[in-house]
Parts: sequence; structure tokens; C-alpha cells
Amino acid sequence: MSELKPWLALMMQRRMRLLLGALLMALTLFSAIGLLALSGWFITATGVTALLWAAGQKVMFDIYMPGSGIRFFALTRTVARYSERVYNHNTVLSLLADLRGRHFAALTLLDGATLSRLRAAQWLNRLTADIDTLDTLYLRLLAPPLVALLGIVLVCGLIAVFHVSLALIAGAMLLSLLLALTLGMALLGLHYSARRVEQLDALRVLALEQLQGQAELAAAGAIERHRQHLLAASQQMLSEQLVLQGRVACGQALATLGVMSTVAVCLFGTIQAYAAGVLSGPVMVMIPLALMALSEGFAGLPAAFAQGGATRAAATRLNQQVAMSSRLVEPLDPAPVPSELSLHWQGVGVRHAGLQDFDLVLHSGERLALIGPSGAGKSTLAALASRLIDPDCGVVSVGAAGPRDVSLQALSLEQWRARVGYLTQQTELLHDSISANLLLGNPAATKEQLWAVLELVDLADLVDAMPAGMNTWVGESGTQLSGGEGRRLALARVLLKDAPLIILDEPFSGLDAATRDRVSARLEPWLAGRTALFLGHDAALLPRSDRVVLLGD
Amino acid sequence: MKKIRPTEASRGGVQHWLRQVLAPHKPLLNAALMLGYISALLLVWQSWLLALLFSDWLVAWQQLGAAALNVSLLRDLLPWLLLCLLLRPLLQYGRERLCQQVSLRARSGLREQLLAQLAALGPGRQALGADAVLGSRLLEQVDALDGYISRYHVQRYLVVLVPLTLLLCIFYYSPLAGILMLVTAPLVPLFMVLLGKAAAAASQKQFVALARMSGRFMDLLRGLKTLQHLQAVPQAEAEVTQAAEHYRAGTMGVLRMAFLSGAVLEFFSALAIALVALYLGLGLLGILPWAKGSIPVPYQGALFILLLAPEFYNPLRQLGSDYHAKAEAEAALTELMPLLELQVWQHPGQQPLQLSTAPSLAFHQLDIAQRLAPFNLQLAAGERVVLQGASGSGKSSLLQAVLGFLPYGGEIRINQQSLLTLRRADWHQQLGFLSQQPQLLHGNLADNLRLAAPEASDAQLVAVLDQVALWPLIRQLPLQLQTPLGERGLGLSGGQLSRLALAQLLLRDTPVWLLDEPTAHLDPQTAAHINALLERLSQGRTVLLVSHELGGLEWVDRVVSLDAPSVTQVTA
Repeated sequence: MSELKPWLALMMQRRMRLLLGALLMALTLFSAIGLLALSGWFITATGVTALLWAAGQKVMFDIYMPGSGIRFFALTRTVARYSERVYNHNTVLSLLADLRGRHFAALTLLDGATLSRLRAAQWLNRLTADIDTLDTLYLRLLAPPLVALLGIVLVCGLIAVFHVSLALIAGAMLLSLLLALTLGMALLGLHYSARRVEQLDALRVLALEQLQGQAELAAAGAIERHRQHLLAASQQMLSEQLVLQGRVACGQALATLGVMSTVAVCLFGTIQAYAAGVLSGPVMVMIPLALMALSEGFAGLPAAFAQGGATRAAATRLNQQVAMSSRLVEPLDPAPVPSELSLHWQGVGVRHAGLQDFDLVLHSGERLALIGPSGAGKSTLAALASRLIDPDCGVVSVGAAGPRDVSLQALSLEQWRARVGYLTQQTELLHDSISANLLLGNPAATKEQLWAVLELVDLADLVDAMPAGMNTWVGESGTQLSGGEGRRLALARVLLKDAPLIILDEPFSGLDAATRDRVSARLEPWLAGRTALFLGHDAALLPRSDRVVLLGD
Repeated sequence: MKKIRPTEASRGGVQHWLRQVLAPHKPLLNAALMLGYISALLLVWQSWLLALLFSDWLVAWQQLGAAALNVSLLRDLLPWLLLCLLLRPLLQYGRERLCQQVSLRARSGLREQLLAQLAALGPGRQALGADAVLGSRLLEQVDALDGYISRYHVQRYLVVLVPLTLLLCIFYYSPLAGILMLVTAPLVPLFMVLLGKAAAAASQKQFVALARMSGRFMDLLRGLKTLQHLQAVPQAEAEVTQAAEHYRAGTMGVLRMAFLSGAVLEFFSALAIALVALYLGLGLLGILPWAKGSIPVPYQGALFILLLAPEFYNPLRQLGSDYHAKAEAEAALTELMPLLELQVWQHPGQQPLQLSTAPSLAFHQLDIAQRLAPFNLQLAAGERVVLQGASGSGKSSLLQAVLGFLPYGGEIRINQQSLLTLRRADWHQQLGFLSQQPQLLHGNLADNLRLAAPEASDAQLVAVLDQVALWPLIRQLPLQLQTPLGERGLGLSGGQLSRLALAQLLLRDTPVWLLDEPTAHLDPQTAAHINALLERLSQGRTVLLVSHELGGLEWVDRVVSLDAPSVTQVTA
């Protein structure tokens, strides 16, 4: 259960709200118990009084107190139920919103290599589904058993007023029932509920294989076999779900049975006490009715606890993410960034990219083209230069290409990244307006500056002609731009950052020759005075460079 | 109303498909309904027994004193009470299990049906959505029916049957109490429907909000590295917080609606119990304003009614809390319907096909609606031809037609036999197909190779890997053939992936190869390596290669262009 500790600690920061929520929840249950118990008492008491009156005895009966009590409970029940639901969900949901923000912030601190360990879709699942699963922690796992416990104490306390030993017996029975429905169910369900997400992921992989690889699988004569495999995996998941559902159903039957057996035992006890004159008739009826109303407090427990494994698994995954830390270390006392920006890769190696003992100098003010096939390590060198990753061995330094150069790791990450403009090989546009995408490069940019960079990449006329202009929506599903236009927009964004060191990874991919020449010409004056590194397959497809270095075999 | 619920028009269809899905399981569902109803009857009996017991004790005590307390009655009634006590949870359990069993079978069957439909659709499925979307329909949307089948369906009948039965019993003892409940009862569903409709509309909006939040997060997560080096992280963080907060506010809006409908039900249930209790109590005292001095309902009946009163509203409350299950199932089926209702073209051929040598392949006036104009081409046995054309010229459609996935006009003949008369599986047995981006299946290297030839020996695998020059690399790996591939395993470069796919083709040793731009995604150097391999390994087979570029394909026998208005042939 230690997986849940950090989350419990986080929740405890709002303990007043949580406590108040639990009290409201308890009030809802207590009103239900009060309503039924008092009604039973009232009817019986009036019945008894009527019999006494019929026997000619003069007895006083106050109908106002119990009458208004019944009305009071009926009203409290409704109000408490509604406000409990709204209040608690609000608490938990704002806690979850808070968690999402924190988790994303933690993610942004990670280095490129650590981020690449999971696909974006998996990170998304942490941020949405896994965090959503944590809402059960309070709403279904913590508060309800606590409230059920309070209910047991209340009802048994009520019985104890009239009959102590009976209260003790009922208390023992109900407490063991509570234990069975919480811990017992959690143990029974743990294995199956924890596997669920994993199984669904595996099934999704199979489903996508079946769809995306349809032509290949069919041509390989393997589609039927693969489909049977998929169906078998689905069947396996469904039958495990059925097992879990069966255990929940067992738990629910046990809840009913447990409460009703307590009622039966109490019947025996009360009848004895009644016969002995210890208990009055109305109280004898009230006790079983209060117990029956208590069963509401047990109803949700089996399902919640059987699914507890899913909450635990989600918490484990989130903890793993929290434990991930960036491998990019910030120096305690960062060196100032040198004014000369000659970049020197000295004997660098990056294990996961297969880069070994690599040397290269990019002189200040120089334009260097690095040419090589994909997989030769070009993008790795660029990631090193912009400090998305650090080398496993060797050093990348900056300065006047002399002994007084400073290692990039000695600089503040923020100050260094401010000097580097980097266009990655993959075009990454947000699902947002053109201007919002551009502003990522420089949030303080003016309208004129935005149009100026669009002009540089030959997009100004196109954007101007769009009905929504700069507010046109772009990105994955709102694609209004072709691949080449998106590429140029990403380039414009880097230009807007106005950095002295510029790295462009295949800047013109997807552009036709005419556009390429136009943009290349417009970039000439802009590039003047900057240090630039171009990456690509072919120097002819890059802006003009002073020097070309060939990479790879 | 129509404006709020855009799905209104398709609801008839949804109901039809729900019935369709459940039809084979009617007997089980009826049995579950029976169990649920019997359990309700037992509850009536149990309440009656308890009321009888208590009233007997009270009256006996009143009239004869505590000493004459009738314990024998308890002894007589106790077995029956215990029976109710034990049987009710058991029946409840049985009912749930039956429904869950039906749910499993129905979902399993539906998934199988959808898969078969998707397989028959072939590439036509792309009109219905991206593969990732179809995949989630196959998984999540099918599972979304669970709540409806395992809880809502039977409850829908019980919610009418049980209160009516209880009402009959209550009427027997006290018509007025019965009327009291009868009056409040229809108000409950009315309110619930009104609020439920509003909640359904709100929750649909919420679905959109969730999709939007996920989309936003996905966007930011994908571009995280870009955000890092653009130093736009603070902006992104603010956006995440804002999106999360927006989602919270939206969710609360929906929940408030749902809770309000719950509160309405709670209110009526509590009010009815309170009114019934007061009426019965005052009645027992004989001080009701309209019936002074008389007792309308004696004690036993009064207690019986009081015990039944909460149960009267229970089925409704259950139905209310499962209302979202119904909405969820309807939304899921609305998504699934286009897929279920699509008329699928089936490859008609049934004749067996056996080829011992490379066949000839002929396209005669081949015509694929809207994608390929009538087209003629003959490939002699063992001839290797490149079909060249720009994107959109119908190359891929032609390949899909040859694979038997698309209907076409004209004829495709294999050794003079029309493809439409042949069994598709037999034809696939003779085919080797290499796609633009070969797919890796989840599993190890040997699994991926054996996919096509399950009984191939390790030695055979090594032999084909050697032929495509992959074995030297794989031999060095610690697990060799057992090396896992894909996301968590060995990352293969584009060239290595093509080699692996080629090894798969060699393992099957088929007389016909269809190649779909096999080197389009490779850099020139790697492409040259693969082309050299293709040249050597494709000898003696009938090869149809489609490509939009001709670079590196000098090894083929003939080049045919698809671009020109009438197909022109260019000799290489």
C-alpha cells in the first residue's frame, strides 16, 4: 500500500475539506437510519398507545416530537445527499486538476532521452486516465468505509442504550462484515483489477496490428490466425473481468446476508429482553429497522474495493513518473555565456544513438552543413548543441574555440537555450491558431514581427489570403496547411526567436524547388552574422553554407 | 429537444441494434428477470412475516402480559424468515451473474462481428476513420455496452414490475397509503427523464470537452521537446492548468445535473416514508382529522407498509444510478452503427488455385470506380514490371484489387483464370506482398518471420536472414532470433526493416510478388542496397512493383506508366 502514500499525503493538505465532506456523507447515512428507525418506533408506539387506550387506560402520547423528527430526517436526508455529492466531487476534481498541472510541469523538466522512453500517448494516459483513477481513492476507498464505521458505532451505540451485550454482539458482527467487504474484497480483486490496463494496452496493440497490417497479414495468409489470436486475448480479458464481477457480486450478497443475519440475531436478543421487560415494544421494532437502514452504507464497498488494484496500479505508474528525473543537471553557479559562439564537440559519445568519440568544430559566424544518411547521428549532434540531451562521454563546449571554452553543462540551461534556435526534423505544430504557434517562439513578439517572419518564409501572402488570416487554426486535425507550408511555419517560429546560434534540421523538406530557392534567398540577409548549422541528406537541399562535412560511411 | 441531442434521429437505429445484440440471449435475460422478481416477492413475504411477528408480540403482551409471550410463533416463522434471508442474496447473485454472462457473450460476439466486417471491408475501412479510432471502437465502444447489458436492461423491467407488486400489497392494507405512493411514483420518472435529458446533453458536451482536453495535452506532449528549446514551457504549463480547470468546471456542471436528479428521487422517497409513517401513526391513535376515533390501518398492516415503503423506490433509485450506463451504451452504438450497417463487398471466388511455377498476370480493361480508368497490361510468366505513376493515379487501388480487397470492372487473370472465380485465400498463398512501411508485430524476431511460415525451422530462418544480409547483425545480439522487436526491443532502421520484410517473403517462396514502393522511405544509399537485393532475389518470379519514381529500378524488365491518359509503355 506504500504506493498510495504520496497521494494520501497530498490529499491531507486539504484535510479540512475532506473531513467536512466525510461528515456530510455520514449525515446522509444517519438521516436514512434515523428516518426508518424513528418511523418504526413511532408506528409501534402509537399502536401500543392505541391498545392502552382501548383497554381504558389514560396515557399521554406526544405526537409532535417524533412527528417533527421524522420530517427533519426526511429533509436532512435530501439536502445532505445533494450537498455531499457536489461538495466532495468538487474537492476531488480540483485536486485532480491540480495534479494534472503538477505532473505536466514535472514532465517539462525531463531531458529528451528520458522523454523518449514512453510514447506521447502513454504520457497522455498518465495525465488523463491514471490521474482520473485516483479520484476513487477518496470518494470510494477512504470516505465510505469510514462512514460505514461511524454508522456501525451510531447504531450499536443506540442499541447499547437499551441493551449493552446485544450491542456488543451486533458490533462484532458488523465490524467483521466491514473488514470482509473492504480488505477481503481488495485482496480478492487485486490481481484482476491491476491487470486491466495492461491487458487493454496489449489488446489495443493486437487490434492495431490487425487493422494496419491487414494487407500484409492477408497476403501472408496469416490474417485468420492473427484474428483468432486477437479474439482469444479479448476472451481472456472478458473472462477475467467476469471473474472479478463474480467476486463483487459475492461481496454484495455477503453484505446483504451479513446485515440480515445481524438483524436476525438482534431479533432473538430483543425478544428475550422484551419478554424480560428490559425493552419496550417500540424500541424492539426500532432496532432491526435501524440495522436494515445501515445496509446502505455497505452497498458500494465490495465494488470499490475489488477495483482497488486499478487505483494502486495507476498510483504506481504515476510514482514511477515522479521518480524520473532529468539527466540534465543545472550547475549551482552557472558560468556566463561567452560572447563568441564557436561550438566544439570533443570526443562526444551518446550510447543510445550509437555515436562514439566524435569531434567537430562549428566556428563562430560560420555556416556549416552536416550531410549524411538518416541514422548517422546528425539529429543527436543538434540535440547535444541545444542541450535537449547531454553526452554520455566527451564534452560540448562553447567560446572562441580555445582552452578557455566553457562546457555547455556549466551554463544555465535557460540562458543557453535562449541563444539557440533549433528547427527539429519533425514539424511540431500545436492545434491552435497560426499566431499562437508563432508566439511560442517569442511570446512578446509584435504583429509586425510576426508578419515579417512569415514574409521571410514566403507565407505572408498565403496567410493574408486566408479568411481568418493569422487566426487560422492549424495542427493535426485542423490542417489548413500542406506539409510544406507547415514546415515553413515551424521555420518562421524559429526565426522569430531571433537567436544568434541557429540549427536547421532538413529545413526545406516537403518544399518544391521554386519555393526552396525563394526562401533560401530571403534567409541570406537574415543569416548574416549568425552562427548556423544545417543538417540534411543533400547539401543542395539546404541554405547556402561555407563548409560541408560528410557524416557516416 | 432535437437541437440538444444530435443523435435523436439515429436513436431508432440504436434501439434496433441493442435488440439485435441481445436477441440471442433472451432466455438468459428472462431468467435473470425472473430471479430479480422472485427476490422482490421474497422481500414482500419477509416484511409480512416480520410485521406479523412484531404485532403478535405487541398485542399478546398488551392483552396477556409478558409472561404469555408467544415464542412458539417465532419458532414457526423462523425457518421461513431464514429462508428469505438466505435466498434473497442468492437470487440477487444469480441474477447478476446471468446478466454478466450475457454481457460477456454479447460483447464477445459483437467484437467478432466487427472484426469480420473490418476484415471484409479491407482498405475501404479508411472511410470510417483512422485505424486508431477503429481500434478504440473495437475495444472501448464494445465494452461500453457492459453497464447497459449487465445492469440496466433487466432493471428496466423490474422498475415497473416491483413497485406495482408492492403497490398491490399496500393497497390491500391501506388504499390511502397506496394512493400516496402511486401519486409520488410517476412524478419521479418524469423528473428523472427531464433531468436525465438535460444531463445527457450536458454529458455529451462533456465528452467533447474531454476529447478537447486530451487533444490539447497530446499536442503539448508531442511537441514537448520543441517547447523546451523554444523556451515556451511556462506558456504550455499555463495552458495545461487552464485546460484541466476548464474540464473540472465542465465535469462539475454535468455532475450537478446528475446529483440533482438523484436528490429529487431521494426527496420523494424520504417524503413518502415520512408521510406514510405519520399517516399510519396518527391513524393508529385514531386522531386523523377526517377519521377521528377510528383506526384505518391496524398495527400489523402499518408496519408491513412501512417496511415496504423504502423498497418501493429502490428499483427506481437503482435505475437512476445506472442511467449513465444507458447513455454510454447508446453513444457507443451510435459510433458503431456505421460500421455494422455498411454493405460489404465480398470476394466471390471459390475455385481452388495451385501454382507450381511463376504465372502470367493479365489486366484486361481493369476499371476501379473513380480511382482507375480502364487499363490493360500483360505480364508474362516470370516477368518483372514497374508500374509508375504519380500519387493519386490509382496505383494503390490497383494493388488492393489484385489482393482481392476491392471490386472492379474488367478482368484480372492469373494464368487465364479470372481472379473473381478463385478462392482468395488460395491466391494469397501464392502472393508475396511488400508494403511501403513494413509492419512489425509485437513479439520477437522469429515470431515475426514465422508469421508467414509457422513451421519454418531455425535453420531456415537463419538462411533467409543471411540472404538479406541481416544475419551478421543478428548473430551478434545476445538473444539472436529471440530478440524482441518494436518499441521496447531492438530498434530497426528503415533499411533493416525492409530487409526483414524481404526475408519474410523469401521464407514463403511464392511465385508472385507485389511490391508497393519498397524503397520510398529510404535514403538513396540504403535504397540502392535494397534494390540490389530485390534484383537478385526476385528472379524467376512474376513481379509487379508500383512506384512513383524510377531511380534505382533499372533491373526490371519493363516500365509501364499510369500517368498518361492512355497507358503508355516505356521499355527500360
